[in-house]
Amino acid sequence: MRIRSFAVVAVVAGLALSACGSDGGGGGGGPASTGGRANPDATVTIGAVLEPTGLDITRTSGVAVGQILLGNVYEGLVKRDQKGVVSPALATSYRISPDGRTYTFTLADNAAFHDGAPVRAADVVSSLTQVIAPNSTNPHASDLASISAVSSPDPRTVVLTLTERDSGLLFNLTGPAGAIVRQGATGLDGRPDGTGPFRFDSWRRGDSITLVRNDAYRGPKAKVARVVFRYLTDPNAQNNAVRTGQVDIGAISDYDLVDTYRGNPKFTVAEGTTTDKFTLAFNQDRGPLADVRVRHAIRQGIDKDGLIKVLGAGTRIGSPVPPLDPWYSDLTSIDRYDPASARRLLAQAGHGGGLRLGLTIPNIYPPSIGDYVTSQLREIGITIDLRRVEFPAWLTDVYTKHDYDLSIVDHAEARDLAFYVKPGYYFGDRSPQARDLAKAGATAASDADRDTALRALARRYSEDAIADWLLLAKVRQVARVGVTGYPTDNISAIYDLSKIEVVKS
Amino acid sequence: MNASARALARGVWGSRSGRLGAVLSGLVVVAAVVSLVWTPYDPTRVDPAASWAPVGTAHWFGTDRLGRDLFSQVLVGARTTLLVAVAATAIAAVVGVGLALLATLPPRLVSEGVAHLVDVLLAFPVLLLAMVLAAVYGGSRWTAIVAIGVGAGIGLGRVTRGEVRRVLGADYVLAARAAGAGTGRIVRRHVLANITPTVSVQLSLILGLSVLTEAALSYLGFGTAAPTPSWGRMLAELQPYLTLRPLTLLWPGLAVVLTVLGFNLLGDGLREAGDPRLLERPAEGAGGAPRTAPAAEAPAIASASRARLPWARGAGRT
Repeated sequence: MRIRSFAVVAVVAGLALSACGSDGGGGGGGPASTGGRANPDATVTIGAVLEPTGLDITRTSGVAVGQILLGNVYEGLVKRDQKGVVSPALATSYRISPDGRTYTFTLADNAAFHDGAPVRAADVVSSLTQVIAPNSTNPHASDLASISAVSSPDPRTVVLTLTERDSGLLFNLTGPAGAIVRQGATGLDGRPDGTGPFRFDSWRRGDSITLVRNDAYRGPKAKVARVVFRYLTDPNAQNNAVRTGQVDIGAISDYDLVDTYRGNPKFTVAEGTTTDKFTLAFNQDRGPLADVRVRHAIRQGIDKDGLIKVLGAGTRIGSPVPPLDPWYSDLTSIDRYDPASARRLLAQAGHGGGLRLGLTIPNIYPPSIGDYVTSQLREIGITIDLRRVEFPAWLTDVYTKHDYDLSIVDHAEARDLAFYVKPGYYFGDRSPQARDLAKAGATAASDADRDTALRALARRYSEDAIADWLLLAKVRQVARVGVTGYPTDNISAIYDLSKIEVVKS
Repeated sequence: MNASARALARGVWGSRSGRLGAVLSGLVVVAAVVSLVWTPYDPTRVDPAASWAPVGTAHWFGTDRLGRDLFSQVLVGARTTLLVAVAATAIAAVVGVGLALLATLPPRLVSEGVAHLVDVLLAFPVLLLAMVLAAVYGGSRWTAIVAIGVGAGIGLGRVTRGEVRRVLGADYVLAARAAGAGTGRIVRRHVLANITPTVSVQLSLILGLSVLTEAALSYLGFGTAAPTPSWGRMLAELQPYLTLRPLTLLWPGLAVVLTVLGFNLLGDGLREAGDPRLLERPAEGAGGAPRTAPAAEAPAIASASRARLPWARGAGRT
């Protein structure tokens, strides 16, 4: 069995992400250039939260590594923009056969790795073959599970053969599983070597990662000479670094603090949407939560609008589908906040005299979320034993051993609806109906069919109360005036650096 | 309460700093006791509608971001603080006096070894010890209590050792020994009784230190675990809003300051009341002095030292 560590580590990514990303609305670029003279020799320092555990994109799990390297250092055959729209990258074009089982890509003829070697079809074949190999060590291997063979009839053409239709394949090829590395490349952990607009320069563990512009890039060149990701895990340190100019762009999650930058002529504030779904998971496999009435009661007992109010930002969602996904539908009317009804449901389930449940929450999230849920559940007669744990402890206890009643983590991955039907996932919908819907969505012949199936699946999740989705986080970045073009939304787990520019001051 | 304790209490109340210290410390105790039976709100209950409510009749100290009542949190926090301070100080007393005795009574090889060990251990900051404990056993009140108690106890042992040695060298101890008293009896009747003034002053300082250290540990996330309210955690949670909502930080900050001040002033009062050299007037009699034991067995020495007092103080003034 392949462990989907991505799913989990992505959770951490919530924080990595909140370190980067946000939006003023619209096109997904930061504030437009003010018309000053751009400085091509500039260095941009970005305050980030979650440092990757390694830099080998073919082995390292977690969103942090992809966020830094994907699209910047590495490229795939195709790429996605801030809104999830797929377009050609290393491939200049692609063709899909009518039965949806053969994808033919034509490679760019002037693409080269950073060491100067040209990109050949053999590099693509070896990269993707390694991912789908039976003994693959790629943590994102299941993204490409539908591919049965990769071949290249000529040096500029790559053909993917699928076992069945896969409506998510192109999107997945834009992710870390689709990154193209050089055939036979070694030492990727210390020296990532890709084809993107930035070259890897250095990594000071615990401090920063530096990328420099790839002047030999085939497309439009990056607009700054150097980008430094500085890791500042403490929100106060992040705030101070922004305020004192140690970083040019920083993520400030606290709305009160963000407000202190508004109206300040030295900073711009950008707010954007994310795919960070703070999820209260229910362990249906044991105890009182096996009873659907208890699960509905908990959902009805938590005032999500109140939580969003005290946190200052966030979007109410009724399922793991964010509003920007094509198969979104508004499910927030299921299990509206209604403590009286929640208490009735608990009484019907035989817990009228009170109920005691454990809640495990990694300590990387703001304590207010756990405090809020604990307090709200006490109002409907549920006593919570709150356990704040290190993230690895959460992975062991909750994710691996399923030893929990309730758990809160940020599921940061985009388009993760199918995770929750996997057998052995730490929570989810085990019914055959849900599995059929997920399969129907994945193998749909048209986007409309896919959207219909996935919409029904999301509704099922919500009606069956497999979890409560507390909120979809927002991300706010504060940037020094003069720095523009940074990605503001954070829905693609990729932080595109190529459009960032700095105006000479 | 026996006669000597009553006299000590009178002495503390008689000094200005002692009285202020007693009042402040008493206030903390009252807050802690009251919080057991009544708080205006459940201190952990969130109320989105009351987020950042201002100081007023509804919320005397205002609320935090989650709408939790700060006054209730400060009240319940007093309980945490007092528990940690008292328990840690008790541990410090046992550890400190124990170390002091171990560093004086046994044969030279052992006692000198213990004394040097204490000197070495003194180099480890209490905060560091607490963090190590928290890293191994997880941060909680109990790791904080143990760390503060042991850490402060080592310092206490260092100070107390000198006192123990002084007492052991005193004539009345020699006299008792000559009269056939064993080590156990001498320790119980003479040593413990005579180091009590010094130790109790030290312990009152340790009380204050414990309050500060507990707040620091909770602030750093190594102390009292959520959701139990604690002043240090309140400070940590409110600190990002220092420039925005300074008033919210005032309450837990003030609580810590006043409590530490109270315990320290109480210590001053104890010292003044317990140290005959600082007395304004001669003690009313041997029975009323805090040092019962020496007074009983070595009245000459005790009264001789007291006899000099009025003269000494008088000389200082003129």
